[in-house]
Parts: sequence; C-alpha cells; structure tokens
Amino acid sequence: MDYCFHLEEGFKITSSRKKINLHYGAAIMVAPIFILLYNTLFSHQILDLSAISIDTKSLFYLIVFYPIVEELAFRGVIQEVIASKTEQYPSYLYISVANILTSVLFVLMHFVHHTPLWAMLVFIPSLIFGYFKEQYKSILPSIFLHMFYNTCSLFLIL
Amino acid sequence: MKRNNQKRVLGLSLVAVLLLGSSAYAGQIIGANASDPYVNTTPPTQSGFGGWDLKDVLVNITDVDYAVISKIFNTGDGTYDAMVPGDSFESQIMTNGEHRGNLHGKDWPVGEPAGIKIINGDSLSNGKPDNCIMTTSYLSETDNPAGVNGYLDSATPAPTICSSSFQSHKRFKINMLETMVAGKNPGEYGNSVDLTFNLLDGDTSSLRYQVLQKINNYTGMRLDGYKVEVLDASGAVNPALTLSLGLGEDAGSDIWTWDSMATFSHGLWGAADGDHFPTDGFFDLVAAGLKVTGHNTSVITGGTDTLGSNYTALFGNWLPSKWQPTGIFWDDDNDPLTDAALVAFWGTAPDAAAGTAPSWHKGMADNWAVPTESEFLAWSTSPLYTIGEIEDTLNLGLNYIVNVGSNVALGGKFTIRITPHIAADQTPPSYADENGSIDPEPPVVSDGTVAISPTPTFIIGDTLTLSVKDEDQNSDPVVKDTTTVTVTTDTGDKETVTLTETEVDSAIFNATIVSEITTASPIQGDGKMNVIKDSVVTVSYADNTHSDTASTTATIVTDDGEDGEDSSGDPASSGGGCTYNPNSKSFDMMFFIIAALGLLFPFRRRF
Repeated sequence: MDYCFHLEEGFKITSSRKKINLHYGAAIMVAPIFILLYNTLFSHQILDLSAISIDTKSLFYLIVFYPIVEELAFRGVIQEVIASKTEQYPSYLYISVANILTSVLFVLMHFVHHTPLWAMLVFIPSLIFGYFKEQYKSILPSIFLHMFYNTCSLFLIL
Repeated sequence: MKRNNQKRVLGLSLVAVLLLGSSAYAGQIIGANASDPYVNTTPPTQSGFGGWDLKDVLVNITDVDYAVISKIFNTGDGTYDAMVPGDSFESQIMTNGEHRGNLHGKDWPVGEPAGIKIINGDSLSNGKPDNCIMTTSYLSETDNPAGVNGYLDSATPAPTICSSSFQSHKRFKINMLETMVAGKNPGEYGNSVDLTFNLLDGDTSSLRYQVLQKINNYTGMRLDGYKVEVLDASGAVNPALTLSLGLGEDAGSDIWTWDSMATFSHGLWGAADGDHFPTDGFFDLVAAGLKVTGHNTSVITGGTDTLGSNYTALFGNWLPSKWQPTGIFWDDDNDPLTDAALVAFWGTAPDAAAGTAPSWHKGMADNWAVPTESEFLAWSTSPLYTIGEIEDTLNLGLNYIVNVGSNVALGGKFTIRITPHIAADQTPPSYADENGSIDPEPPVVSDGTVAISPTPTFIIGDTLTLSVKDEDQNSDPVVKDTTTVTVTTDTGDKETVTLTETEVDSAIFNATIVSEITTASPIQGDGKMNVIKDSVVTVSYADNTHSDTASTTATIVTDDGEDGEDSSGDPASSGGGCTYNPNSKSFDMMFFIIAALGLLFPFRRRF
C-alpha cells in the first residue's frame, strides 16, 4: 500500500513536471507567432541584415547579455522581493501578483527607449518569463526563453 | 480520414495546376514574366523586350548628357553593345513623321535601353494589376529582395518588376518636345506622341496593365492639362480597349485617391505619411498636380483643375523646361545614384507681393527663410552641395490602368496616345527677367563667417566639412594660406583643426574631420569628433577682428533609412525584452541601474 501510495505521489510529481515542460515547449513555439503577429499589426521591420553583418557586438548584447542581466534583475531580484511580500494573494490564471507587478515594471522600463505600443507589448512575454521562473523555481529557464524571444525577433523575416 | 485528406490534396493540386495552366495562356502584351530570372547574354539583351513597338523609335546609346556615342541598340532583337558607367540612352519617339518625345531612363548600370518593358504575372495588392508597363531598370542592394547589388554591373542583375519597392525607379519618363505644341495656340490641345505595344498572337482574354510613367514638359510652353487615349491597331476607339483610374477596383474602394492620379514629386509637394514620406514636401504639404477624369473609357483627361497646392502661386501653370527654377541640392547619402535633397531655391515665396525681387529661400518648413551666410558658406565649400535645376517641377507622374481585351479584336497592337493641353496664360515666372531668362545671384558671405556641414544635422560616421571666410587670413595671394578653428561637442570632445585656403587667393578656408560614435569618454585631440546621438558639434573661429560659431547635431540612420528618432529598427533594441539603446545617452544610466539590480541576485533572499 505504502509502495502504491509513494508510486502515486511520484506519478503526480512527474506528471506535473511534464505539464510544465509542455508549457515551456509551447512558450517556445508561440514566440515566432507572437513576433509575426506584432509585425503584421504594426508593420515593424524586424531584421536589418546589413546591421547584423557589421555589428556582432550588438548581436551579442541582444541575444546573450541583455537577457541575462534583465532576468537577473527582474525575475531574479524584483519578482522574488515582491513575491515575498504578496504571497498571501492568490494567483489569477496561474499568474501571480508578483509576476504581474514585475511585468508592469518591465514594461515601464521599456518606455525609456521604445514607442509606447512596443513597450506595452512586452508585457505578455514578461508574464511568460515570470511564470516559468516560478514553476521551475529557477531563472535559468526564463533566461533561455528570453534569449529565444530576442533571437526570434531578430531572425524572423516577413 | 487519411483517404479523404489525400483526395482533398489531389483536388487542390488539380485546381492549382488548372489555374497556373490557364494563366500561361492568358492574353498579354509581349514581355517578361515577373518570375523570369535575368538572362545574361553576349551581347546583352534588354529585359522584357518586345512589347514596346520600336518601329517609330530611334534608340541611341549616349553619354550622361545624351550625346550619342558609337554603340548600337538593335531594335529588332533588343541586343545592345556592352555599356559602361557613364553611358546612358535616349529613345526618340516619332509620331506622324515628327520627333515628338524623348524617353529617358536611368543611366547604366541602373538602367538599360530602350526604356520601356512589359512585366506580366506579378502579384500586387490593393486592387492593382499584376501586370505593368514600366521602365527598364534594375534593383539596388537595398531594394533587391536577395539583399545583394542587382545593377547590371553586378554578378546577379535583378530587373525591377511591378511590385518592386517604393522609389526603385519603375517609371519611364517622356520629355514632351516643342513639336508637341508647334502650330498650336494657348488654350488648345497640342500634338500627340504615341506609344505602340505588341500583343501576343491569337489571344482572346483580357488583362489589366498599370502604366508607370511621367510626362515632362519640354515643350517650351506652359501647360495646364493633358489627355491619354488608347486606340487599337487601326487607330480607332475599341470597346476591348479602355483606360481605368482604379475607381472601385480595390474591393469596392478606389486604388488611388483623387489627388494622386497626376502629381508632381511628393518630395516637393505632399504631406508626410509616416511610411514612404517621412517629411512634408519642400514647397507644400498639399499635393501638386491635376484633377483627372474619365474611367473605363478610351480617354482620360487631366486638368485644367489643379489639386490646390502652392505650385501655381510659386511658379504659375505647369512650367516648361526653359523656366525650371534653380535650387541648391544636398547629396545627403553621398550616393550620386540617388536623388539629392533640395535645401534652397531661387525665387519668391508663394505669398510674396507682385514685383518682389527673387532671392534664395529655404522651404515651407523654414517659412521660406533666407539661408544664413554660414549656411551659404557651408554649402559652397562642401562637395555634397551643388546648384542645379529643380527638374521635378516639370515632371508629372501619372497613375492609370489600361484594360487590354482580346488581341484578335484589337488587331495585335494598341497605342497609348498622350496629348498636352497648352495653358492660356504664358506669363514668365516671377524669378525670370523681362527676357524670360533666369540668372540667380551667387550667395553673399561676409568676412569672418564660419560654417560646418552637413547642417543642421549629420549622420554619425559622416565626414564634417569646416569652413571659414576671412580676407584677413589671406596674407599671401600666391599661396594657399591656413587658419585654425576649434571644434567641440557638448559631450566633452575638443579638436583644433587647421583649415587650408581652397584656392591661392579665395579667402575661403576649409578642412574635414570625421565623426565617430563612441560609448566611452571622448578623446580630445585624436583628430576625430567622438559623438553619440543628439550630440551638438560646434565650430568656433576667432581672429583679431572676427569671431563666429556654427553648429550641427548628430543623428543615426535607422533600418528604414530615416534619421534615428526611434531606435526600434536597431538590432540592439528590437526583440521582446531589450531596454537598452547603446546609441543614446541614457543607455549608460539605464544599463547601470539594471545591472546593479542584477548584481543583487545572490543576496535576494535577504530582502
């Protein structure tokens, strides 16, 4: 009986992790669609081939450096601090209050260098990054996801 | 389920094959298909040859001034002697035995003779036809979807097609000559120029062709209108051959707005639209041109009603070439193959009182201000600035469609006939003298004037030209003297630059200095201006009797070619989560804030 009980628990834990992994895969797959949708709606040119060929430093910053620094700051520090203060509040559709507030701050930071529309549109990817940070209890998945989203925005050509 | 899917796929494939197959037999003007690759032959052959009937056309290969050179274009098969940079062409169009029009295209290697080609089977949106009559040009690296140089001197020439990008040189230009008004009076229609096209034998279906053209007034007389007619092989009106203005042909909407069917250059007259045109026109934000009438008939008529811009107030009715105004142009991208920007013109403001003497003026955006002496000095000493004629005041761009019906019904050919309407008022413009001559005065620059160009903005990476005019420094009239200026930026750079006299006794001194983007502190005295976006570069000059300064501001170029206000085209700032812009001052501050937060990560649990 105990063996069956432990087996059941192990099965629940395994299936829960499988579900999160499936969600993670879906988040990866939806990235190109999201970028394509944005560019269709706003006719935003997403790729400058000549800039890539002559500015590899900017490529490194965009695909590697910035995602790491941003995730350390937002998901690593800000979201955890807010979470420690708001853990008594329930989540909405799997999105915690800390994730929402962190994403709002993320959007506000984007107003500095981007058009308001572009800045507001990063809210959804930010929620996704925050979700997986909470699910995996690690910022590594959100860092990789952030890198992938930035890469998609560069290499998708309409 | 699997079998149903297989049947579905088979059915769709059959439909696709039928559709594709049917289009192979569709009626059309002889020409090239949009998907045809360039065919390299020896000698070279004009792409899309055969549709434009050259029986009454003399095609000359010329130099860039249209002087005939000893190279031949074969009007029978479209081959021509190999051309080199510096070569061009002129197709002389004869009608009723008279030389009525000259057709010019882009100089080689951007264009090739004879000047008109037919493209079939392209794919356009917004109701526009998938076929067109256009000029014989090739794609630049910027416009080529392959992302490589597509000119004729490249390894992979890429001809333009109907759907080629905006401003990729698709329109052919016909200079209407004096013979088109000879023997006619003001207020009358002039003589016509005909373009004849050959149709594929035996076809009975109908196709639509957009005609991408301009008609330019070299008649010697003011015009105030035109008409375009289509005629079959016998020279008669034919119900199988009509003209369309695109009314209701874009899913119930019009293809073109009422004020875009016959217009002068949008860069001179037209509103910024955030898409193709980032700024308002130099002269007016209202389009200049003619109202056009006629739809699904054999004739369309432009004029005499205009679109309401200040073209008439500035210049009167449609100018002839002898009265084209003089302007100062800036080659902002340092590329002689692209159009230069107009920065000033010789004439009078549109609201000037009658009898006002002409002078140099900037455009509407500067409220017709007279350029400063510093600007004149900068323009006169920079190789990027030239004085020339504003030819676009003569050139009317037309938008219309020819509906070509059954070739059998039309007799295998059809003609587009263009006829100008001569204006009743032939008064010379305000900037012409009593003899109708135009003689702009050279700009006046006072002693001690200093200048920097490009101005008021420059693109980071540009070479800046520094100039001083000072007779005091012209100490020896037989040698090129020197003087010095100090150049500073508001971000801490400082350079001392030695200027050399342009000629031994000119008293104008100039030198150049490169500009370079920097993310670190600028290095003074390194011979370069270290700048970031929005840096203000100031040149200062002082001697015993004079002192003056001049400034210009740094900008960057985004991926759409505009000066960088929004860096969203910059790869460093695109993407789902990037907050930094290395080209902005605030990059450093923002980056440090985020990085500092990130450094707190190991200590987060303590909060």
